[in-house]
Amino acid sequence: MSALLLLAASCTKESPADEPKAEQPEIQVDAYKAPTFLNVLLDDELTSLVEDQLASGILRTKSDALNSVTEDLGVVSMERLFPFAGEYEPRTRREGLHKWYRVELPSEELATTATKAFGALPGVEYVEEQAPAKLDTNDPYWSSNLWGLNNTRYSGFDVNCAKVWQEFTVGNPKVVVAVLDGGIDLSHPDLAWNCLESGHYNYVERNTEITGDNHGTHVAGTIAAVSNNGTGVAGIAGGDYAAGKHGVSLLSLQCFQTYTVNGKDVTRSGSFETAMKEAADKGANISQNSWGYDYDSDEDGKISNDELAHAKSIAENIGRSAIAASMNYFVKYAGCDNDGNQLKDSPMKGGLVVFAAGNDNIYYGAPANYEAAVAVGAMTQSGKKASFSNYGDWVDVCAPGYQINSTVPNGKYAALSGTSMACPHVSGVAALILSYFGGQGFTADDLRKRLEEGARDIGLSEGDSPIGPLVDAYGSFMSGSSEVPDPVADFTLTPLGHNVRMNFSAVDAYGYLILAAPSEQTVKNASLTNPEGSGLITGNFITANPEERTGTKEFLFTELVPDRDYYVAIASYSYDRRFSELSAIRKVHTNVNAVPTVQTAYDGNFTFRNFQTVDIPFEISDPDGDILKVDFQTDGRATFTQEDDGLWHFRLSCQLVRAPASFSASLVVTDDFGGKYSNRFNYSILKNAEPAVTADLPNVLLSKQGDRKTIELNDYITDEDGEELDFRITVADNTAVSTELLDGHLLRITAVSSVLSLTEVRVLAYDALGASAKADIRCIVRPEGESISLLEGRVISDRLTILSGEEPEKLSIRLVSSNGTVVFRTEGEFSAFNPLEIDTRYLAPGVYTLFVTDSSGKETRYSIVKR
Amino acid sequence: MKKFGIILLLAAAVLPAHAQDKVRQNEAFGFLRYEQNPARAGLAGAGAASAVGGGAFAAFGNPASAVLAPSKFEAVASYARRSPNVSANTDLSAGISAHAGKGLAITAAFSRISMEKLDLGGISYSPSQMVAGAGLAIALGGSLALGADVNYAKEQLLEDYSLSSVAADVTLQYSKGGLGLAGGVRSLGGKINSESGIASSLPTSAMLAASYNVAAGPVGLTLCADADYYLSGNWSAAAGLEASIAGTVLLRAGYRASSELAVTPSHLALGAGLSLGFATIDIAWLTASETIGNSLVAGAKVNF
Repeated sequence: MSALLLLAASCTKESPADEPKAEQPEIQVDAYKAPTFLNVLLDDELTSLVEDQLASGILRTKSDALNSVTEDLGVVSMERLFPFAGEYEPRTRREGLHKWYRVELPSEELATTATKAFGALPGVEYVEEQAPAKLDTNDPYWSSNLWGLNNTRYSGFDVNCAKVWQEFTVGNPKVVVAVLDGGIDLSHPDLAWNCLESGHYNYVERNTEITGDNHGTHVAGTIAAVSNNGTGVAGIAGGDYAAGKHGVSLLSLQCFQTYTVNGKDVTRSGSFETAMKEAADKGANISQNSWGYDYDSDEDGKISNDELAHAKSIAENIGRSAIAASMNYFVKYAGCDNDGNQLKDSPMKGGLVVFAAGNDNIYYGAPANYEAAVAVGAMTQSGKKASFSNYGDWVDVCAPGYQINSTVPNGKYAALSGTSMACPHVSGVAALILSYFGGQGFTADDLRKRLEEGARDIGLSEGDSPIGPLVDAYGSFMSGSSEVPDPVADFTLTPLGHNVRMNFSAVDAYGYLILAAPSEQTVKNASLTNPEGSGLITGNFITANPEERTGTKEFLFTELVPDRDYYVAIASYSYDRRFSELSAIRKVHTNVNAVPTVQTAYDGNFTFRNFQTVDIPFEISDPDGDILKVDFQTDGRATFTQEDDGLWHFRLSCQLVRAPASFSASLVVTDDFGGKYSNRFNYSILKNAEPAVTADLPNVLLSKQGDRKTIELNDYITDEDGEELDFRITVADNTAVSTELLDGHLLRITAVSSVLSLTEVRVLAYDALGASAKADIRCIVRPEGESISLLEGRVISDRLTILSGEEPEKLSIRLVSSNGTVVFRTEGEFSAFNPLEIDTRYLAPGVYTLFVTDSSGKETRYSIVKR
Repeated sequence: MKKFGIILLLAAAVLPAHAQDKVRQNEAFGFLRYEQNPARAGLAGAGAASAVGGGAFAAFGNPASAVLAPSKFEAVASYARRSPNVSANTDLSAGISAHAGKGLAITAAFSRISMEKLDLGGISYSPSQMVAGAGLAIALGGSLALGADVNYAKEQLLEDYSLSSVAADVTLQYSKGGLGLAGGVRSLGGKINSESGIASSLPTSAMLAASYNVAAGPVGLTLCADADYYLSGNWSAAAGLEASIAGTVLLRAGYRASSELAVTPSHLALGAGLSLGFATIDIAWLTASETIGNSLVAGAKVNF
C-alpha cells in the first residue's frame, strides 16, 4: 500500500496554462439564455386534476385557474420534477414527490412574477425559483501529493485511511456512490475500472450521454480512483488493482454541462432534485454533492448584505424545498424495495447524503445545511479552516479541501481547491465504512453515526467559524463500545439444499462474524479483523439495537457449493470491532444441488381458442433458494415474464394470431450450480368458430301496454368456442316496444304502445373477434282485452288482416254485407303471426259485419266499413 | 293515414305472407233492392206482376204497374227492421201514386234507412242510406202498360265519406183477368267507385214476374213468381202465395232462393194483412236466413 502512495506523490506538475479541459459542446447562437425554472408543489386535489394532461405534455389542463396562469406567463413546459419511476412509482407517490412540478419560463425576467402568480394559485403549496447552482471550487492548479489521504507534511491532518486499507477493507463494489456533479470521464484509465457499466444519466441533456467534466471527474477520483494500479492517483475507496479487488462503484448523474457559446464558456444545470431522487431508484447508497446555491447574484465576487439575507432566507426555508424532499426520499429508500425494506443484496437500509458546505465564507450554505445531509467544510493542509469555506454549527465535519490532486478528463490530473474537494473525502470514507460494516440490518443512521463519532476534533469545531471535527476513517472503524462481547456459546447448522442455515443464541454484541470454508484450517487461521483465505466465505450479522440482542438468531449461507463439507465458526464483536473468541468449529455437509422446480395449476393441453387472452401462472422456485435464470423461447407471440405477484406468467393474446396456428416453446430454468429444469411444449390456437343461430327465436305477442316477455338469448344463439357473446339489440319501431338486455344475455321486451303495433327486434351477437350472427324477433302489441285484432282497423280499403292469438287456432270467418249477403266465408288455422289476410279490393263500398268464431264456438263480431 | 301506412309496412315485415283469400266482387247499393212493400215482403219479394206490387209501391219495384192500380190516388208508408242478427237497420219509406189522366200515372217514393251506431275502433258512426225517386206509367192499350222511374240513391258510410248514384227501372206490365206478367230492367245505373280503384255495379237486373189470381167463394188465392238475373251473374227467384179471406184478411207466405252473392239472400217469408177497403195494413216476417232472419216489415196503405 505504501508503494501506492508514492505513485500518488510523483504526479507530474503542470502549469495552469496547460490545465486540461474537457471536450465540451459548442453552441453558436446570437443570444444564448439559460432556461429559467420554478419548482412548484401542488396539493393532492390539484395534482389529481391536472396530472394526466401534464403527463401527456398538454399544458391546457382541467384546472382553469392553472391554465390562466400558464397562458398569461407563456410557460414553455410543466413537467413532473421527479418523473414517473416505473417500479419505484409507488414509493415515489407515497412520499408525495409526484406533486412536484418543474415549470420552464420563457425568460428569466418573469421569475418573480411567475413565483407570485403560482404562489397565489389555490392548490399550490410551495413555489421556489430554482436557485442558480455552482460548483464549489476555486483556482485549479497542480499539487504534488495526495496529502488529503496521507499528510506527510502536517502529520495527522488527513482522513487516515491507510490503516483501514491495511486492516479492514479497500472498498467493496457493492457500495454505489452517486456523483451529482459535472459528468465523470467514464473512460479515464484511473477511474474506468471502478465505474458502473450502466445507469449513468445526463440530467442536462436528458439522455445517457455523459460528458466528462473537470469538476465531476475530480471528485470521483477522490472517492474511487483506482488504487495500486501504477497510474495516477488513489481513491479513498478505490480498491486494489494489483490484488484484483475493485473499489466502490461510481455512478455519474451529470447535473452540470459546459458549452461554448459564441466563444465563451456557459454552464447549464439539470435537475439536481430529480438526480437525487433517482439515485435511490438506481441503487446508489451514497449521494455525493459538491455543489450549492450561488448567492452572488451581481457576480461581483462579493456577498453583499442583501445577498447574505437572501442566502439566509434560502437556508432557513430549505426544509420546504424540492431538493429537501428528494434528499428525504434518498435517505429513506436507497437500498430498499418499494415498501422501504432493505433489499437482500444491499449493504445498507437507506442512503447517506453528503454535501459541500460552500465557498462564500459565510454562515449559510444551502442545501448542505439541511438536516438530512452531512455538511462538509474545507480544511487546509496545515489543519486550518480554508479561507473560503462556509461555516456554522450546521457543518457536521470537515475534510481536506485545498489543492487536492485528482483525476480530470482525458487521462489527466489536476489540483483543485474548495469544499467540493473536501466533500468527496467524506463520501470516500463513508464508502469505506459501508464496504466493511454493511450488510443486512445495517442502516444509514448506523453509517452516519460511525462517520460522525469517529471524526476527530482538531480545534475547528468551535469559535466564530466552526467547521466541525476532521473526518477520520480509522477512527470511524474504531469508534463505539470497546468491551469485548461474550463468545457465542453454541450454534446449530442445518443444510437447506446446498445452503446452510445457522441458528445461534444471541449475546450482547454489536455484530457477529460468521466464517465458513471447505478447510477447517482456513477457518482456524482466518484473521477476525481482516478475514481472508482460500475459499473463505464470511457473513456479517448486525444487532445494532440492544433490544435485538436476545433470543435465537438465524443466518443463511447462500453461496456454498453443493455436496461439500464446510467448516463453520462464529465470533461476536463490539461496535468498534473488538472480537470475542472464535467459537468451536463445526462441520456441515451441503446437500446435492436441488433442481429448480416449475409448477402450475393449469392442466390443459395448451390448445386455445382464437378469442382467448391466455394467462397461465407458473411458480418457479429453487428448493435451495438459489438465484435462477429463466430462459423462455418461442416462435410464437407468447410471453413469459415474472410479475409483481412473484409468479411467472405465460401470456398470449390469441386474437392477435391468424388462426389456426401452432407454435413451439421451450422453458429452461437453471441455477448457478448446474441444476436445470427443461421442458419443450407446443401450443396452438384453433380457428375462431362464428356465432350461429341454433334455434328460431320465438315471436312475441304482448297483450297490453306494459306487458313484457323475457328471452334467454343463449338458448338460441351460441358459439361453438364457448365464448360469451356480446348481444346488441335494435328495434325497428321503438314506439311499439322497448328492450332491455339483462346480464348481457336476457332480452326483455316490454310493450310501450297501447294500440295495435307491430315491429321487429333484431338481435346481433358478436364474438370477441367480431364475427356475428343475427336473428329477428317479430313482436306484436295489441290493446288490452283484445283477442282478435284487425290490422287495418275497422275502416278498410284493399285488405283486411285478422290477427288472432299467439298460438295457431281454428277459426271460422264470415263477412256479411249490410243487405245480408255473405260475401266471404272461410275456415282455417290462424294466429297472430300467421294471420288471415283477405283481399278486399273487389268488395263494394258499404258496411259489413265480420264474424269470427273460434274453436270453442265463441263468436265475435266487428263492424267494418269498406271505402 | 301515415301511421296506418307505417303499420302496414311493418306488417309486411312482421307477418309472413299467408295464402291470400280474395273476396269476389259484389254489387254496391244493395239497399236499392230492399223490399219496402210489406205485402210483397210476405211473399219473399215475389208479386211484382200482381196487384200486390202495384199502386204506390210500384215505384219500389214495377213502375208500369202504377197505371193498373184501381184507385185514383194511393199513399203508402212502411217501416222495416232488417237484419237484427247481423247489422240492424231501420227503414222508413213512403210513396204515392196518382192517376194523372187517361192511361197515365205518376209515382213518387222516398226511403231512408238508418243503421245502428257502429264501433269502428275509435270512431262511432251511424251510416245511412236514402232513396228518392219518381216514376211515370203509361197504358199502352189493352192490358199493356209501360213504366219507368228514376231514383236518386245515396249512402253515407262515414262522416266524411258518402256515395251516390242514379238508378232507373223500366218495366212492361200485362194484366188480363187474373193473370199478370211483368218484365223489365231494374236498377239500371252507373258504377260505384271504391278507394281500391275497383268500380262496383249497382244491382242491375233483368226481371221477369208472373202472377195468377183465382177466387173460390170468399177465398181468393194469388200465386206469384218473380225472378231476377243480375248483371253480376247472380240470380234470385221467389215464389209466394197469398190467400185472402173475404177480401179482408190476407195471409201470405213465400220463399226466395238466391245465388251466393245475390243482393237478397235466400229466405222464407210469412206475412199477413188486413184490408178495410180504403186502407190496408200489412206485416211480414222474414226467417230461415242466417243473415236477414227475424227481419220485420210493416206498412199501411190508403187509397181513394
